[in-house]
Amino acid sequence: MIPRIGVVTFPGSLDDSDALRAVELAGLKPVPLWHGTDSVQGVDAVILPGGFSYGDYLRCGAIARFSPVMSEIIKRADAGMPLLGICNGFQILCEAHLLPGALTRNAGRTFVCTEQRLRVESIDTVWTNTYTPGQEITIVLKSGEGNYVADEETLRRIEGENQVVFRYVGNPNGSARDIAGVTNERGNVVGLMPHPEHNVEDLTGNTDGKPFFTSVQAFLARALG
Amino acid sequence: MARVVVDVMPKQEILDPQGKAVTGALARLGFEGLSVRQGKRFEIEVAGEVTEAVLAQIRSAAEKLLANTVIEDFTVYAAPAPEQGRTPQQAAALQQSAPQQTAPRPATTPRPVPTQGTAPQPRPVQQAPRPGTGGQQQ
Amino acid sequence: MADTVKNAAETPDVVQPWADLGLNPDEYARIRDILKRRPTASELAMYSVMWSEHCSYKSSKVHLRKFGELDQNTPRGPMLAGIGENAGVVDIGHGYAVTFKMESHNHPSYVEPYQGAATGVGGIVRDILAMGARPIGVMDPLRFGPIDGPDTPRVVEGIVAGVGGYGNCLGLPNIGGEVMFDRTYAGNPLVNALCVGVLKHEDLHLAHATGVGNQVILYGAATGGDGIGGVSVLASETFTEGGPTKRPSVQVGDPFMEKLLIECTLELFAEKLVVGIQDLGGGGLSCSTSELASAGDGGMRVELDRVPLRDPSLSPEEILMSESQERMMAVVEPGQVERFMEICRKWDVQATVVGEVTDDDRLVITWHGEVVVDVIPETVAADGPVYQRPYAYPAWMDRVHANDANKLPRDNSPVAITNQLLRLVAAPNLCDKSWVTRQYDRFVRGNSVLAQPEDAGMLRIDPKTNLGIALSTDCNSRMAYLNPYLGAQHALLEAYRNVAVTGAQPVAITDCLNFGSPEDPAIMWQFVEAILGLKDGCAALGLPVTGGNVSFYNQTGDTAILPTPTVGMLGVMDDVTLRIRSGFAETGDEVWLLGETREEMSGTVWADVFHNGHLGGMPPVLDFEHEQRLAAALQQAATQQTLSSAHDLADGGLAQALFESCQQGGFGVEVTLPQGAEPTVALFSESAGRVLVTVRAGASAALTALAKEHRLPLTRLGTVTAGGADATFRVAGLVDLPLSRLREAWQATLPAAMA
Repeated sequence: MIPRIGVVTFPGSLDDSDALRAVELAGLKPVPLWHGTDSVQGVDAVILPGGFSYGDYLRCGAIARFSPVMSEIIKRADAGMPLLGICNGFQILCEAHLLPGALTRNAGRTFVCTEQRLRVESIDTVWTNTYTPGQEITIVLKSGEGNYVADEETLRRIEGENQVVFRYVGNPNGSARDIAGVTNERGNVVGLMPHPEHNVEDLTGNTDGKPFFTSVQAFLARALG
Repeated sequence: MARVVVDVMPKQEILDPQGKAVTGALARLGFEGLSVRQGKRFEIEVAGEVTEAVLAQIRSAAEKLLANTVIEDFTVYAAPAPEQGRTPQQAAALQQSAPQQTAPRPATTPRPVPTQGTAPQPRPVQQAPRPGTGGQQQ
Repeated sequence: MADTVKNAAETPDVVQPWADLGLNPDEYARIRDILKRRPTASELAMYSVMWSEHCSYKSSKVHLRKFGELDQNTPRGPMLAGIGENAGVVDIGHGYAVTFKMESHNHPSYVEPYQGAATGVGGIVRDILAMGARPIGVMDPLRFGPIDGPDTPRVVEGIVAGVGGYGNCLGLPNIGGEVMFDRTYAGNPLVNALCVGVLKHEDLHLAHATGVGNQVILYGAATGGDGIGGVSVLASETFTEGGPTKRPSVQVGDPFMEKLLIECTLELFAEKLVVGIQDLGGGGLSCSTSELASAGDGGMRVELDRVPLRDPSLSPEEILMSESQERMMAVVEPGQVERFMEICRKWDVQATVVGEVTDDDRLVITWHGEVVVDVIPETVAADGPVYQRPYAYPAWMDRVHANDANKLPRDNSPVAITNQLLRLVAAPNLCDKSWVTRQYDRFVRGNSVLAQPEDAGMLRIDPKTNLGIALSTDCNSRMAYLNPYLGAQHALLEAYRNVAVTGAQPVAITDCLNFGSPEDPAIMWQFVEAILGLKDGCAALGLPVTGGNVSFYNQTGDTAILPTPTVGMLGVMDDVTLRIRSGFAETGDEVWLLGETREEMSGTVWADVFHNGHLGGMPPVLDFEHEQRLAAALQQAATQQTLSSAHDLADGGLAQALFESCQQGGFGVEVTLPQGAEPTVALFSESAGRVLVTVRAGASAALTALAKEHRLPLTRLGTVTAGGADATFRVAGLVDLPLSRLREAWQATLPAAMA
């Protein structure tokens, strides 16, 4: 059984088609999910893609997090379903308190689009288990609100619990402790600002993002038997 | 109709790059010694009176949606009702003289045309908010 | 109480503010003549906006017609839609067509840089959408005042943030553009925005209203007072107390709304629910109603009071003039309206039936049951005034031509050459533009095969066959000042070469012609010459002009902008995996130069930087035949994978191209100038028709054969050297610098200016 990966489209989502393509290129079955329905069609994992859901009104991800589809997603994530939030998706996961901390305006106050060097800090998650610890990769980063913040206690806790998944090499936006991506305690929910779905083809970049998809594939192969 | 206001400000320990930028800009304009933090204000119209129950309801709305309590603090309070009929801009506009002519340009430029919509010198225009409320990417 | 047709007929002597609306006495008289009565306030508003320069092209129409004389076929087949439609449409193969257009939004971008630029992007994207296409990319040629000007940072920051803010939010990759600084653009920045879209042949939609009884639906954002500005004079005529007397001149954009509009509209297209469609841009409802009606085979009746309003105090004239963004107008068969509305509801897009197509030939608009507009739509939309503005060769051009930059002193010593090189890479018009381009998303949609700083942007269209397109926007306005005819051709050839250098086949152009006041015969001369140059150039290259835009009145007092005829060139790439990149690829690769370098220092950045802004002489020699052979050779090289890199030579000449290829690839270089070549000329002359190429070590036989076959001059220059921290940039006997020194100088300029 080929694992089925859902990708949610909110009003204003932009990188949903790229995420769907990346899933397909990885040999998995992409399933488009509409924000307005409360069914996730029994998928095995969900990706919340990048974009400007609801125009970033109020705060990035603040409105999308209350979409009908999110209640089902939160329920399943709490039960262990793999969930990946990319950029705006990461913002939605933080607003929904599935991940600690919050994303705020880049310290430099401009939108930054760059091919960003990252260090893999933890391979102990559903989405990163096929990387190697300390591996340096280059992934597309394109955001204006990528500055990760959390209070001291939270930062200490997630560092101690190995919940920091990626760190910037050369901090582009002022994120606390150069944090580019985090995971929850269980390791099934991961959020990151950079866009691995843009790094799956040599023609348009590099393929440093592919291990996200091989990782979830490996996890699901074990989990689903 | 009554009005409740929710003020949302970034928590003290959160970096406020916009506030910083505004502080710097003010200083460059000669407004020394001012330190600015930038937040958001929500004006909520409620039917009937502002009771404690209404305030509690709005506090709950603020907690759930209007503010992200990880990074923001908020205050909720009843505000005086708006003056009937006019926005402040409208009141000011009516006090000025009738439709403002643009200053004539030298011979080689035309009379202003509506679709071009501009004047040689900047004249007061309503500053519309940029897409998304405060704190959003620009 | 609105000014009705009945009222107008009964009160012929009412004094109307036609002058304040930008009409001249002859135009007003003509309107009265057409209508056989005085116009109502609403009709006056419509005529004034549709007959404005911006909408009617009255000063440029007679000259733009020359483009219609060109063969309307591209090298790959006939155009599917051409000049006159919202945008040109070109067949690219495999059932796909591409539509593209460039437009300006210059004046608003000076007043409110962010919103001016943002709504400029929004407007051109809607034009592409209205053709039935999914918008897939944008480009932004920008021009600003002097980099150290006191107002420049405000304008640059706002415009770049606006282009990025709007385009990024729509999910459109920005794949190229230009950034140029010159004192003539102070107070008159240029924001030209290009959008490209893709569609299947059968999805082509045109802007006409046909089918009696078909419904006219306005959908998208509600209508407010955006952009009305001067029309408020009308409001004060027809309003009793209580109405606001001031209206904003600025249009405010909401890219989220436009994103919803795009997705919603594409679904409407997919279900074949749309008979005709028009976007609302400059001229708002005046434009969309009159253009849809005049292009169709019937008339139209519109109930203006059904237009959803953001501001309930707007008068009918103001509603007709409003330039509120993110609105479209569709013509839909009655039986399809229900489904149309359902799809709009799904996307949370407001949609309202505001009228219908009628069986007469008139456009009738009512306001609460009373007729406020009753015109023949062609008189508004198509039969506007046509001016034959006088134009005359300005006497001062002789002085300019005589001031040949070849006569300027040149110091060819190694010290001088090295210092000049360091200063040139840091010059505002040669320096690193990352400060700008990193505010743009170039990756979204996952099909960006090439993007800035490559010579052209390239997008994959069909993942199955790897069919794609390439685009470049170019204009060297300093060359255009020296000679507008040749300068326009120079822009055309640069864009042509930039597309060819990636391996793509150039097929068609769009243009954005930015000039000063057409009431100045010298400026009008520049305009006429530029059009002639473009027309003759396109004829020589066998390319059609698919449409474009004219922006006049870009001047402050007596200072007009440099004539800026921007060309947007579209190319087709049958297999994007074969594209050629501009960065050096491998240590040891052989560096060669295709083309000939001549002593042509006029208009160069060298003359500008080292001789106090010197601008005199003539543009470099242009050879269309040579450029066509060069392009053919490059396409062949791509197919045969002969080259490891290729980079067009333009501003800054050979030295700049060598540096850029080092920087882009991450390598150093070592070259020796040809025997007898004068260093300044060899390195900094800006002769046209040249491309810097590399081949794998020892693999030059294929290149020499290619050059011979296409009769192209070919010169070996040197070798690519190692990259890394110790990379060097060497010109034998003249320059020996760590590449990092050049890079630091190149990267420092723009961030420092914006700080």
